[in-house]
Amino acid sequence: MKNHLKVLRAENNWTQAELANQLRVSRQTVNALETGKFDPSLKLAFQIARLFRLGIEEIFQDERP
Amino acid sequence: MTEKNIDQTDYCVDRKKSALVNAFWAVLWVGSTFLASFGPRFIWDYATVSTVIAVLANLTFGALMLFHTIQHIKLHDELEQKIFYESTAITLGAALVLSVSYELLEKIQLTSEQPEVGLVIVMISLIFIASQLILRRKYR
Repeated sequence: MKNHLKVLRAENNWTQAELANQLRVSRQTVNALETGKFDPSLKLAFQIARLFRLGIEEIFQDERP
Repeated sequence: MTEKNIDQTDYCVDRKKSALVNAFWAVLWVGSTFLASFGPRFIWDYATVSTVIAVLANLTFGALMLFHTIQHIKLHDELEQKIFYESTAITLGAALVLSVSYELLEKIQLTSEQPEVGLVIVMISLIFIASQLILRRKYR
C-alpha cells in the first residue's frame, strides 16, 4: 500500500515528531508509515484521514494495478 | 500545537509512569526470587512456613509483574506492539527448538552435563533482545 503521508505532512510544515504527537504514536511509526514499511490499521488510517480532513482513499492507495 | 503538546506530554508521562511501575514489580519479583532461593538456607533455616510465604510472595509478585507488563504493552502504538508480538513469537519458537535440542544433548550422550534451566533463561533473553533489535532496524 502506498500513501501521500510525507507530502501531506510537508504541506502542513510538520516534522515527523509533530505528526507523531498528534497521532499519539512514536516518530518511528510515522517514518515506517511514510516509507511504506508499515501499513496502518483501519483505526489509525481513519485517525490520519481525520487529521488531514481527507478521505482514507485520498491518502492511501492499493499498489495493485 | 499548544493543546497537542499538553496531550503529548500527558501521553509521555503515562508511558514513563507505566514503565516505572513495571520496573518496580520486576525488581520486587527478582528480589522475592532471590529471597525464596537463598532465604531457606541462609535466613530461616528451612522453616516451612517462611519458605511457603516466600514462594507465595514470589508467585504473587511474578503475576503482578506479568499483569503490569500487559498493561504497559497496551500503551504502545500499533507498530511497537507489532514488533513486540513478532519478537515474542520468534523467541517462543526459537526457545522451544533450542531447549529441546539442548535437552537432547545429554540424552544422546553428546555431553555428560545436566541441562540447566538458568542457561535456557539466558538464551531466551538473548533471543528476545536480538529479535527486538533486528525488527526495530527493519521498521526504521
